[in-house]
Amino acid sequence: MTDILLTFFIISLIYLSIANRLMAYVGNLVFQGLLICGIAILSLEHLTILNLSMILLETLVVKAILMPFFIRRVIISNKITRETEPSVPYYVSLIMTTVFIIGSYLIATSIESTTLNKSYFVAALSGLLSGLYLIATRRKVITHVICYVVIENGAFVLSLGIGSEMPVLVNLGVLLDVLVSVFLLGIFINKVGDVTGDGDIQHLNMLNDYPQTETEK
Amino acid sequence: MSETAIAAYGILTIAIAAIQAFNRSEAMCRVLSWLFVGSQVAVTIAAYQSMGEKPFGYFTIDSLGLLLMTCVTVVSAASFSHDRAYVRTENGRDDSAVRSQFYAALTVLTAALTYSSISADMAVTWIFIEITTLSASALIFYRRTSRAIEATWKYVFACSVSLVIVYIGVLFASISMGKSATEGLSYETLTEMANELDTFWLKLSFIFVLVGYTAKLSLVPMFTAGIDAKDEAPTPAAAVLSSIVMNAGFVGFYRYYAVIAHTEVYEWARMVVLATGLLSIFVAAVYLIRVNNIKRLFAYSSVEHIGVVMLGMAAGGIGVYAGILHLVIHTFVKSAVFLHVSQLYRVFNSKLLSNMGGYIERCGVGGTFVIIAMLCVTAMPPSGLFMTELMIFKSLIDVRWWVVLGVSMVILCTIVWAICRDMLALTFLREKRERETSVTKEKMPVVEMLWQFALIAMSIWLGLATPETVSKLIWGAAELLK
Repeated sequence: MTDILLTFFIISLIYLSIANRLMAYVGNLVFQGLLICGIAILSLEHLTILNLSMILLETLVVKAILMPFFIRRVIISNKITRETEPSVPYYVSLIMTTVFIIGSYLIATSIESTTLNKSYFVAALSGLLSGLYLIATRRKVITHVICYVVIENGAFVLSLGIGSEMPVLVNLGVLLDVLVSVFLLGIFINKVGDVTGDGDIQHLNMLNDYPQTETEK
Repeated sequence: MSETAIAAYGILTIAIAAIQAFNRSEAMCRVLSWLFVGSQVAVTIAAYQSMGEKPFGYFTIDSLGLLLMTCVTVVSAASFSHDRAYVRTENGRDDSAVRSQFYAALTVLTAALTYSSISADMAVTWIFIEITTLSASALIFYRRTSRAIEATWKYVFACSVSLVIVYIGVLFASISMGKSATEGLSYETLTEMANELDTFWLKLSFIFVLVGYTAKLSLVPMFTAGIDAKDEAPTPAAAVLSSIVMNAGFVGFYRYYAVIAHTEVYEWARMVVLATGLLSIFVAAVYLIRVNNIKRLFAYSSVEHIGVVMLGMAAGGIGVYAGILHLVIHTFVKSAVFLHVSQLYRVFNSKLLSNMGGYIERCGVGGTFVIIAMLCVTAMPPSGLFMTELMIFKSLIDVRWWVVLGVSMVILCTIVWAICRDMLALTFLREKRERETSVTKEKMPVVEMLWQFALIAMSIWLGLATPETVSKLIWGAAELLK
């Protein structure tokens, strides 16, 4: 069962590489949040109330509801155009994501480890790599935030793939990280939007090492 | 004793930061800041008295922690004593809300740095360093201009991604531990299990932890975000970012490196650290030759110095001792230099080196300071950094890394030339400047002058005649690798 959910997670990455609407990205985040929730509940050996509530909070509430909702609100309130505007053609992204998935699979098969579940490793590594790739090839700031969440999802799947459970402290830390980063980044998108008019990363190029004139202090 | 002190300090910090964030009175914010500095001094003294204790199991009061905690206390006190002048002179608008946030963020940042320096668990270090990112971003955003937004955005994003990378490193570390990761990821447990750790995952984990923390450490490959941040942050914040925040990154790296030193991948890890150090020095030199912004110049100089520290860490032996001392001295030198930039800005109304010149005529004390600071930053005698660099070179000779020694010396000479060229022109040269304004004399505020000269004097004293207490602490910290 977990393998099916992990496969869906990988498929969602492929979809992400060719989606051209921002709202499709947001929908994808909800989908990934639900998948991760399912994977987490299925892979827990001892289901206690504390464990279950932590997982529900972390995946369902935060990853599947709060963050997509917040990102959607930022998109609407900032009147960000709905296209993702990649700097490379979609088919290149599709090929790259496929390469990442196959590469992750090949790496996973070459590793000998008793503590690591390999299908989790494949999904996690593909998530991390395609997240980083999408950040590098998409021009909108909001897309970068969404891809950051995809990387976080990959890291979360990796933490589930480790046989032993991670200490609660680490989970809490991750939760803090994701929540605060996304909200903080969301707030800054408002500010970036104020300055640039749209959330295009190309406007953020004022800081460099060899300024000829000083426009402001 | 230490548990009570640490808990009380935490509660007080939260209370002070909360009041500062919502209070609009400057006087109130200042009083609270000094109350916080008082509690910072108190917790440092309490820590000295409870050396060796492990409060709450998540912290450890050891040599390295004490040393870096003291640095945090000194530099934060210096920064807090510069903010009044800063807030009044450089922020023309009456933005009481912005000012309150500034004070609150600086308070939270200092506290997070204090906790991270004594953390005994990978996860705890990680969490407090995360808090430093968040509070530092509020400081970088201080001016609310488009450049500040850009710097903050880049800093938050790069640090968030790098902390995810560290998190993955922590996960790999727990894979290398096998089933016992549920006991927590304390450095002590990891060291005890050193021989049982899986080498493949350990190597992978070390790479991820090192790369992740380079964002804070200002090392290759993630140094760029820190440079923009130091450029745009107000000077008291830039002083903190280029000294004790880098030390926090060092704690994260060094405590894990100490675990690695007990495993069979140590030799491999040394090579990785050496490569990072050498590359950082090289990259710093490339930028320093052409940079035209004084804050970025000093920021790249930090990249160089941390690169030198890494050379010492890789060489081992006396290099580790010299590396840690180098880090401590660099903390004082760089905070003093960054604090002085606010005075330079008052005189020239610009950060660009091409707009500055004849400084010694306009501000005699400032000009003298820049010359002394130039000697200290470039590690020329009587700078304390001269002594430590000499020791680091000695350690490179000890391990017979002749090529590394030769290459790093050539690059360092280039850096000395580049910095001296800019600093001497700034101080003495009045012709050929782009913006020639009338020569008006600008006095330096006494409090600022005292702090900056005190920090520089401390750095020279630490290098030339290292006090026995400090020496013992550094040896204690270096012992972690054995």
